Amino acid sequence: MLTKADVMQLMQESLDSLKRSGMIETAMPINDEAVIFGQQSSLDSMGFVTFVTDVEERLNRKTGKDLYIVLTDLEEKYPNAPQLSGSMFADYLVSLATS
Amino acid sequence: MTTPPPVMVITGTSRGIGRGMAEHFSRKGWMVVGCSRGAATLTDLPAYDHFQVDVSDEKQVREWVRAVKRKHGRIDALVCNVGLVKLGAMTGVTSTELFQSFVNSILVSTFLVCREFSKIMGLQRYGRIINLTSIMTELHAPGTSAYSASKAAVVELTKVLAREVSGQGITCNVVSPSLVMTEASASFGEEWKKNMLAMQTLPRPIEVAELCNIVDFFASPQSGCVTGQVIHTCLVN
Repeated sequence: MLTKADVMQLMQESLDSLKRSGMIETAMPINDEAVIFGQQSSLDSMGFVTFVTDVEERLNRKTGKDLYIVLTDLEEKYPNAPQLSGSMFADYLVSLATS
Repeated sequence: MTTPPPVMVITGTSRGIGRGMAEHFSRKGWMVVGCSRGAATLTDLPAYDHFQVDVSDEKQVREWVRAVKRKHGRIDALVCNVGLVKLGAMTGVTSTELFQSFVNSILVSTFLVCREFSKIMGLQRYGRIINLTSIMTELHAPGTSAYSASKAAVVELTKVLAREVSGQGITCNVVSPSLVMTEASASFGEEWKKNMLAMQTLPRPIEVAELCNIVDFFASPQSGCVTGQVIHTCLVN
């Protein structure tokens, strides 16, 4: 059973890996309040796309399932949210992995 | 230890241009991953893997791209060759359904395939995306509004994507063929062929091998400085 803490760790591993390989410019510590997408995020638009793609791959490896992160599902889960935080994304990923 | 061959994905390999390209690049040392709605029609190539997929179906495209990544590990080049073998009509008598069928078959399919493969290439920090359009985008020929508008939109999609992924080692370019003699184009008849050639600067049909030469250039690791470009055949525009 994947927990929110597991997912937060997975997200951090992804961000660290992307930073090491130069795919994102700034190191980003993940926590509940960290802004993943929206104003004040240290990820630019393409950094966000790369991050989501990498997290999806890691999530599939970890769960052994064929899961797809669908951004419109995120929008439906958090309508009118001005930004996507670490906590919001983690909750979504947990629900995706356990659905 | 031998280096595995580079992997080229080509859509629409059951016939016509896609099939010819699959044959060419497989024999040239690429591992070609092809797809079509139906079963494989290429069976005797040195390095060819076929998937049955409808590239206008989002779910199928996502599953296919993931399956290709899982099986082949990486994707070096994508040749997106989608189309609809159907004659158009004058705009005034073009039904919404017909127009939408061109948009779905050409533009939406290209969008889905490029979106999914460009994400994989982004993680690789390398990729070559080559979309096939048509010189019809330059000719503004009566009766081609659905087809030409869809193909012209693919050109714009390619250029926008080229800018978006320019920092990830990915290039995106367009090959814009003139008349290629395939089963599909032959089915339109001699009159259509004559009219088509009359609009070209070089009034002759071309061979798939001539297109492969251009794809080869765009797909080369040495072509990393060329992106967002369109090469037409047989046309001064």
